[in-house]
Amino acid sequence: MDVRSQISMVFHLDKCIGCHTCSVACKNIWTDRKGAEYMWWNNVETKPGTGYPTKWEDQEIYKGGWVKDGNSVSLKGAGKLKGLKNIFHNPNMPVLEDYYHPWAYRYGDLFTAPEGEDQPIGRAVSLITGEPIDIKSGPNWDDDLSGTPDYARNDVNFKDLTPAEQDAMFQLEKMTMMYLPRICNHCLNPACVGSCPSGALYKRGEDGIVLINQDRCRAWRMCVTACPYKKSYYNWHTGKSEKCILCYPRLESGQAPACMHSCVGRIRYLGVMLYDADRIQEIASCEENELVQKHMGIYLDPNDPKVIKAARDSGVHDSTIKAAQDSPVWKFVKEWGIALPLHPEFRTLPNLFYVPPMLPGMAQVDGDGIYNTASDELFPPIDHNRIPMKYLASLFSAGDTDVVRHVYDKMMAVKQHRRNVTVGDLPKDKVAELMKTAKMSADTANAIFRLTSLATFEERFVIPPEHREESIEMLEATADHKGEAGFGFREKPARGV
Amino acid sequence: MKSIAKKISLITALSLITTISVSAQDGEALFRSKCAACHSVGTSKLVGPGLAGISDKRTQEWLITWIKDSQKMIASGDLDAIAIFEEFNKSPMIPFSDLSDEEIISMLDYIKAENSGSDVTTSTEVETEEPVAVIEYTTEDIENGKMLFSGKKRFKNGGPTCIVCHNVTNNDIMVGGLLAKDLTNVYERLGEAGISAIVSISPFPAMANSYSGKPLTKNEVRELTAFFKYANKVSESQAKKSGFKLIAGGGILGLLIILGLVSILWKNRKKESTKKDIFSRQLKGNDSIES
Repeated sequence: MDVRSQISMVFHLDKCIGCHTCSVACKNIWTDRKGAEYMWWNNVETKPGTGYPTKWEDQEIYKGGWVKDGNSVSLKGAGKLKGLKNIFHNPNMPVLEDYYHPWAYRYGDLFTAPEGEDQPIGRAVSLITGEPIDIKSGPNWDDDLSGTPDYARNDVNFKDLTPAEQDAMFQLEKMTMMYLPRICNHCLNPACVGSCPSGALYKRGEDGIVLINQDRCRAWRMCVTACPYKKSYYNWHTGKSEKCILCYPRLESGQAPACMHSCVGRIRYLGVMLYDADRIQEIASCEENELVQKHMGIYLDPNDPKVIKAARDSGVHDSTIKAAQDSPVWKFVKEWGIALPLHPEFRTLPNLFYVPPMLPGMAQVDGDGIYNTASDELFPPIDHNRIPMKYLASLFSAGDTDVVRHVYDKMMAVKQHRRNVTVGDLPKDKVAELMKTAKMSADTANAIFRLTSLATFEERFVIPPEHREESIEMLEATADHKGEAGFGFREKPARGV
Repeated sequence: MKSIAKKISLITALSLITTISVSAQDGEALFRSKCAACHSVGTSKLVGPGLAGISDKRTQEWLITWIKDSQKMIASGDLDAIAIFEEFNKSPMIPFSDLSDEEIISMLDYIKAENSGSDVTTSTEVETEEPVAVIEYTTEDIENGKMLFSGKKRFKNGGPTCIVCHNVTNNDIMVGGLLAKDLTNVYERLGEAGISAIVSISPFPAMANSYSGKPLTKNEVRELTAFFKYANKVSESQAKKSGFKLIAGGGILGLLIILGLVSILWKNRKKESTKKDIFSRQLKGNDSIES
């Protein structure tokens, strides 16, 4: 057993209001630079929708992620032969139009325009060429189902739905949507790392954050193709690829990443998970219907004395083990089992989990103007969800509706249990039956409620001390620098020393 | 007076020869490496004229200018120069602009010295002139020469194959190089003596460099000459191959094959932006508003 620690995340979609505060926080800190304007390391998508870049989930277009290859996996669009074939021209990459053409407005013209008959306008100018452009699309052009025939109707996750089921989702008064905020998943089996010909991408040993070494990146852009979530971006100005760094400078100083810190819905949770690195190949290459279950099985119980011993043997610090025991991610994903990975069929074993949203049940406004749900109950059963189970299964469980249904059973049980605790107007036997189907105790339901609704900052973000001193000692002899004046410069500054 | 002057000049010439005997020897060496391929010191014609008595025929200045760049002299309209050029079928003499005046003078001295005992030289020349036309070549010689020329057979001392730089229009061999002179009619131009002289001690710097330390054997020279003679004889009836059709046709065919391969290997590539349909719809919207 090779125990390693991994910073993991849970996004509670029930609480996401789609405000894009996370995206803006991230952009202000990291990607407000020349060449990075089009990048959104954090973006919020409306589902159903085609996302950013358009149709990123369709790996028949972008050739991202891994495919099962016997007892192992191979990259769908990169690797030795495939990589060589595309090494000088890689046609599977998203082009700028697949993202969007970044722009700004000439605000200055509003103030400096001479007096005239008309109102002055600030024209849109390209952030790449500086020339005026006609804006054709943006990173969230399909926000809140706008442009539905062009975007939402082409959602890749409709592949398992019949045309009738698809049509049903777009009928007036039956329409619904959900938000899907996305950042880099810092996968256990990252395709981007596997694809890099220069070895510039690496997964940090101490916390599993996946990073691109800007000194070693040679702009092959294989990671851009290989990442099935399209979370590696090419900076056309620096000629290097960039991706979400999970705000590691913030994590190292004990702060939550900017997107999580700024989240107004408090949907984001971050904590450590311990996992068995020896099982990565076995799990990444298992049958598709076992993927979610086996993926969840790779995470080890941090309270198990055997795991604690193995973790110590593998060099995991006690403070990290402690953080793993308090991890909100452990609770959501393993203890309660209500958070699922996004598109596990890409076989990258992502470490960002989503609690699926409780969506409204079917309803219509009748002739008297009364909002009429199809059900007599206060909370319509999950089968009346406007978004079909198959659609959610396509997102979160590689098409296995049972897995998603089980999560909804639990969430419905918590919802009705808490209604009875606070209001007490639901039939007790029915709630008890729900709790039984969900295999849930009242204590668990209360704990889920608490971490969902009332959690403090410290409960949502259990950031372990990063132990940079240990990491540095792995790479260089710190004693060598001890007698010198200061620790010196690791890289010489441009102005000279 | 005349005889006295002759005597004086003879004495001075003799004293010159004895005093600068070193440079005379240099003259001999230089003459062998630079001139002997085409010229004899006697009166016999090889490629160019025999040079016996040349210093009496022309002034030293004229000779130096000629040797350094004969074509320039012809272009400048020197009548003597043009006359010689015409006489030798307009085959130009290669310019030796790298030779210094002293070196040229030393060679001229050498020629003069060789011809000072004139009787002896003329008698030997008569002997050498005789066997030229007699040599008969077998078809085997021609075949061997063909193989040597085209590189199917290597030169014994490792010299580079002729076809690398030269072309001979002949149906049996492929198109040769364009770097040096076309040798189809070289036999007619230079004759046996010229060919054997040039391939033995080449006056052309590129050729001399290529074959320095890797001289051709006598037999190889003979076989090559046999081939050149044959090639010259049949040159009228040989088809001129330029290779253009082969290269252009092969290029186009190769391109088509590569394009075909590309379209098969990259069949499932991403061909267009995923937003193409959306953008084209947007354009249609604009059009309808305008109309």
